[in-house]
Amino acid sequence: MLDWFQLHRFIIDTALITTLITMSIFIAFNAGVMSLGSVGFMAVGGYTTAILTTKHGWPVPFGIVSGIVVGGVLAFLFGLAVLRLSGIYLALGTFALAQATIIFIQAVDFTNGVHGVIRIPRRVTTVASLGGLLVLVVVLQLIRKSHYGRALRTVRLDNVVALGLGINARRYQMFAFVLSGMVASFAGALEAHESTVISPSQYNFTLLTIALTYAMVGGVEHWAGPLVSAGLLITFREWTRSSGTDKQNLAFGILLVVVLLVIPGGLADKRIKQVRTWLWRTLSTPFRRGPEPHAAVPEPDSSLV
Amino acid sequence: MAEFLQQLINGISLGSVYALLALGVTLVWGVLDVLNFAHAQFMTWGTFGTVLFLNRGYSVIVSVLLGMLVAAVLAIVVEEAVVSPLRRRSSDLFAPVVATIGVGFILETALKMRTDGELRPFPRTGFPTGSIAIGNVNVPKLQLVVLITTIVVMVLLGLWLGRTRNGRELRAVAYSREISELLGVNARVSFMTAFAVSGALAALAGTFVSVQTSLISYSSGGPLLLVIFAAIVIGGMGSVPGAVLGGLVLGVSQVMTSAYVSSELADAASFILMLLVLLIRPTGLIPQKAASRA
Repeated sequence: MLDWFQLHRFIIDTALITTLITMSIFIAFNAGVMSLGSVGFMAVGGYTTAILTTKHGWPVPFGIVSGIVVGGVLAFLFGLAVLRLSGIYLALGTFALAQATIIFIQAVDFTNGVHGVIRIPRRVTTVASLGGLLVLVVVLQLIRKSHYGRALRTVRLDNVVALGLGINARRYQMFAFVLSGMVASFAGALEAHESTVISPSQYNFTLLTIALTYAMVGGVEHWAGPLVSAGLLITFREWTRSSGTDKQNLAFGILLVVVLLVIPGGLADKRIKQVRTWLWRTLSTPFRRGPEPHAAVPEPDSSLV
Repeated sequence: MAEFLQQLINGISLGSVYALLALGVTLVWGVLDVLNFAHAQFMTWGTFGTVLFLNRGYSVIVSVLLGMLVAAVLAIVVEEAVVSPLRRRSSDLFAPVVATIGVGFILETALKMRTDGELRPFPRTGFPTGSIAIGNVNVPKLQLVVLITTIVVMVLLGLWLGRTRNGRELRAVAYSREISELLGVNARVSFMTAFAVSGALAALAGTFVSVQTSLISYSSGGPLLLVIFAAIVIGGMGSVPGAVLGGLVLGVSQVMTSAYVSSELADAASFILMLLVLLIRPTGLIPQKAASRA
C-alpha cells in the first residue's frame, strides 16, 4: 500500500489539485456564474506564493495563505466589474480578465516574464491538499444546508424570482465568485509548490478545457458531482496514459462529447435521477414488507445523495 | 506619416482576416445561440485541406475552394452530430458550448496525430508576390488580394443575407426559431447553412493567415479563437456588420499597439477593448439582440 502510494504520489497530488480547480468552477457555477477565469486566479495564487517564498524567504504556509488572500481580493475587484453582466457575456468577461492577468504576468519584470519562477520550495504534502479539499467540502456542505445555499440555488435557477424574493442576487454571486477565486488560487499555490517551476504559458486554454469538462460532467446541483466526475475522469486519463497523450486526449474528447449527448446536465441530469430512483425501487422491493404502498415512492430529492 | 499609413494598411489587412473568422462565429451564435469553440479547428482543417490539394497540383483558386468545401462539410457534420441533437435534448445553454469545446479538442488531436505534431510549410507557389507602390506606401500584392477577396466575400454575404430567400430565412430563424417555423421556414436547413458558411469562411481566413506566415500547424487556430471572441463581443454578438467592425477594430488596434507601444501587449489590447465594451456597452458597437445584463 505504501509502495503503491509512493509510486503514484505525483499523480495523486496533481489529481487533487485538478479537483480543486474543478471545485472552483463549480462554486461559481452553482450561483449561476459561468466563470472562465479560474485559470487566471490559479496563476495569481501560484505566482504570489512563488515570489514570496523564493525572493522574500517567506515560509511556505504563509506564502500559500497570501496566495489565497491575493486571489480573493482580485476576485472581489474583478467581480465588481463583471458581475453586472450575465450569461455568456459574464463568461466572456471573466475570461477576458483572466487572460489579461496572465498577459500582465508575462509582461512585467518582477514575475520574471515569460521565463517564470524556478526553485520554488517543494513542501506540499498529499495530506495538505487532501486536507484543503476536505475542509472545502465541509464548508460547501454547511453552505448548502444553510439559507445561504438555498439562496444561491435560487439565484442560479431564476435570477428574477430571486430578486422578487428579496435575495440580493449580486451579493450572493459576488460571494460565490470570491470563494471560487480563492479556491482556484489555493490550487495554483499548491501546484507551484508541487512542480517547483511555474511559467505563464502553463496557465493555458487546455488546462481550462480540462477543468471545465470535469465541472460540466459533474453538474451544478451538488458539490459531490464535480468531485465524483473529477475522480472518474482523472482515473480514466491515467488508465489510458500508456497509449500516449494524443490517443488519450482523443478518447477524452470523445468521452466528453458522448457524455454530454447522453446526459446534457452531467451527473445532476434528470435522466440520471430517474435511473437512480428506478434502481432504488427495484432493488429494495424484495425487502419491503406488506403490499406496495401507493404513495410511498418519494419524489426524487433535488440533491444528489 | 508614411509609416503610420503602412501600419494602418497592415492593421486593416489583419482585421479583415479576423472579420472573416468572426463572421462565422457570429452567424452560428445568431442562429443557434451557441458560442462555437470548435471554430478554430474548422479553420485549421480547411487550411490543411487547401494544402492537400495544392500539393496535388491543383491551381490556387480550385484548392482554396476545395479547402472551403472540406471545412463546410466538417461544420455540417459537427452541427448534425453534436450541436443540434444537444440543443434538442437540453435547455441548458452551456452544455452545447462545452460540447463544442470537446469537439474542438477531438479535431485538434486528430489533426495533430495525422501531421505528427509538426509545423508544415505552406506552399506559396501560385500566390501573388511582390508589392505595388501607392503614393509612398508599399502594399504587398498578397495583402491587396486578401483585402479585395475579403471585401468581395463580405458583399456577397450581405447580398445573400439581405436579398435571397435562403438568407432571409436564416435571419428569421435567428430572430425567433418558433415564429419562423410557424411561417414555414425549415429551421434545420438554416442551421446547416449557417454552419457550412461559417466553416467555409474559416477555411478562407485560415488560408490567408497561413500564406502570409508560410507555415501551418495543427495548433495555429487556438490563439486566434480568443481574438475572434473579442471581435464579436466588441462588434455586438450575432450582428453581421458588428463582426466586420469588431474584426477591423481589433486588427488595427493590435498592429498599432505592437508598432507603437509593445508587441507583448498586442493581445492584451484586444482583451482590454473587449472588457471595456462589455462594461460600458454590453450590446456591442452594433447591437443585434438585447444583451443579458440583469
